[in-house]
Amino acid sequence: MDIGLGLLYVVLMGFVVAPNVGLFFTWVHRKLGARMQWRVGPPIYQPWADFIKLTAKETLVPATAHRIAFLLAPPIALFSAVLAFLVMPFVIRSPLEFTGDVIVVLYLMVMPAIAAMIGGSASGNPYAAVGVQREMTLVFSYELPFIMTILVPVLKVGSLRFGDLVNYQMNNGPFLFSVSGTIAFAVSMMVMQAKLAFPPFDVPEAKTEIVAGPYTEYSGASLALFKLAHATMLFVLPCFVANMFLGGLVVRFDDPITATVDAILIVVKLLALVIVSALIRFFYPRARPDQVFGMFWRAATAWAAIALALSVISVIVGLPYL
Amino acid sequence: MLREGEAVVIPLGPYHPAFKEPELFKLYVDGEEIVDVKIRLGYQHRGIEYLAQKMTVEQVVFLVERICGICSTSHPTCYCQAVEDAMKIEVPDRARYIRTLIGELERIHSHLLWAGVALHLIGYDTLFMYFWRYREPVCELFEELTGNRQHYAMLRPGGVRRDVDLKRMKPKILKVMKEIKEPVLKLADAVAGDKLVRARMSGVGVLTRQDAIRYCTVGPTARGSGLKIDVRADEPYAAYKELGVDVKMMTEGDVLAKTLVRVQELVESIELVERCVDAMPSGPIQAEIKEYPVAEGIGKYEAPRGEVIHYVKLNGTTVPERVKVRAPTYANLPSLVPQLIGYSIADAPIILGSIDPCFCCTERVSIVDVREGRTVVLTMDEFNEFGRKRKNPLKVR
Repeated sequence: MDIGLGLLYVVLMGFVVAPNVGLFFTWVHRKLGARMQWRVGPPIYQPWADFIKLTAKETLVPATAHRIAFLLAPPIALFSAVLAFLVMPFVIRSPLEFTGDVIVVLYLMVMPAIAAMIGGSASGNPYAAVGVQREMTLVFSYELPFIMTILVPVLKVGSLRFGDLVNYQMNNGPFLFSVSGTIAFAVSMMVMQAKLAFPPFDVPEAKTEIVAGPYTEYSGASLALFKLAHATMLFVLPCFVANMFLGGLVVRFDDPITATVDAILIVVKLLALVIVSALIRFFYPRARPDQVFGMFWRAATAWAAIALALSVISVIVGLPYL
Repeated sequence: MLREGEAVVIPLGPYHPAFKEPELFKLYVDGEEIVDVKIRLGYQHRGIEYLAQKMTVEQVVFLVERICGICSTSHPTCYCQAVEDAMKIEVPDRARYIRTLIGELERIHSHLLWAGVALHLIGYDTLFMYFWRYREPVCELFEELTGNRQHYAMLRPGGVRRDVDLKRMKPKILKVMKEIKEPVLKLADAVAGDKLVRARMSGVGVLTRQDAIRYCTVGPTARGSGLKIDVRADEPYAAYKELGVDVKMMTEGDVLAKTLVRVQELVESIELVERCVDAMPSGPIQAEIKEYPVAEGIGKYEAPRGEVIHYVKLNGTTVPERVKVRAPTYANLPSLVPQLIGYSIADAPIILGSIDPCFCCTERVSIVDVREGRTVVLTMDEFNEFGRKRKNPLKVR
């Protein structure tokens, strides 16, 4: 693929599709939440209106803040989210994919959390400091089980390339239809909820405890960028999980019927993941920080280890459905 | 053990989204654990008692109604009882029943409001909305009964201002009570049965019976700790003697117990309203005020948050010489000290919320970082440095 087409892909997919679909998914969350709570909910354009309104507001940098780190954190969060999306298969296999891209995406998906920590600690706000401390502990507690769940499909295919993972699932069925895959999928859904800081894992931003955590001092355009990064992550994480466990998000353009079915399946998979996430978000209270960390260190890690062990056995014995 | 002034220093405030009351809670923490609490009051001083000395006895009713937006009939009723005590007025039967009706409806809406706020404090916004949805019919009922959703202006010394048209209102009141009774019980089950909610509330913020007595707590806060006190039963006013009140009590003393006590009180209040409407006698609703004596009077009233006390001193003129108010939250606040110590910062909002403080404005929370054995506390600058450079100043020292 030549450079022109590659650039077009980057701009179109990265900066048009990813943030906009992400904003649409935040609307799905908000509307579903509102309907569950006997409220009317926002109109469909509300996330975009919020974004535009925020960019028009003044960006205040507190006197105590480290200016450069404070202002750089939001773009870092957004760009990492977009980059993570660019190497993943979506409709077509990404022209940017390479061997080992799964590892890179894993790192890129931690970046928004790290950017929040950088920005939060740069702001010099005490609430932000508590939020950063919580965010850091949270990242440490969910990354281990998350990586273990990712190892399940990686071990089964024997490749660290998204394209191989998706191809394997197209030929042999999604990993969800195996015991280890189901467990790993459940754990990764839990991690997805924590990465998005939704209840019951919203400890870093616990509104009634520490205002907005790392984002407390943010305003105007930089807050808008953080919100956009969060919205993009709401699209990127379901994409990642769908590519890993639900058979991938690739359309086979062989004939019109398969193409249509595949396209519909993409929408169904993503929406299903987003709706499940919204249901968890609105049907649980916030757990206490130590309870959250305990959940990940004990339950999630144990289940991920079981899934990993099962997948190792399935590879050795040759039982694809284990 | 802890020295003040050296300072503080994670000032969580002056604006904090968890609480709307302007009070300073300094939480001294070691890591996440709270080791000491300092409370400072007085951010919301409005000079109500002073203003009361510039108004006539009848005008003060409207003034004390504005002390609190949520229990806005508790204070006027209590004040009127104090005035009636001083003037030795007998309140007509029908007026006593109307006072009971309004007071119990207020308890229902106040407890529903509290349940929503408490769930919001632990981040359970869906149930918060559900509870407030069932508060709505009660507010609408108030609008039909009194003309206002809040600040009903129903009271006057010697009786009530407005009659209740029972022929029209009785079916409506009973319908609303029936409508909200079942859902409230269901929601309460959802709260008590939810594993995560239990994990947040059970065993948290325990107030032992001894401490409840020692700190002179009142209302549901005391009743959650096994202290069976309730003005409605102990010194019945209005129509409670005829109607009878079954005082609810739990012995655990934690946040969950205080929550469940309020839920049981909700059901009791719903039943009281039903009994009150059934038994309401006919007759006059006001007693005449013939003269203004030189006398003192005390009123006691069981507000949703606990016992309110009003003291009135009359000097023979239409203007009271002194009006003194003791609100329930004032009695309950000191008991937060034993409730908070030993728990984590994340528990602080729900524990502070569990006494149902009468919120009206903002509040302040500060945290002093205290390491065991030595009183090392951070200054603001040091803390900011800590925030920026991630260098732990406690280790630098």
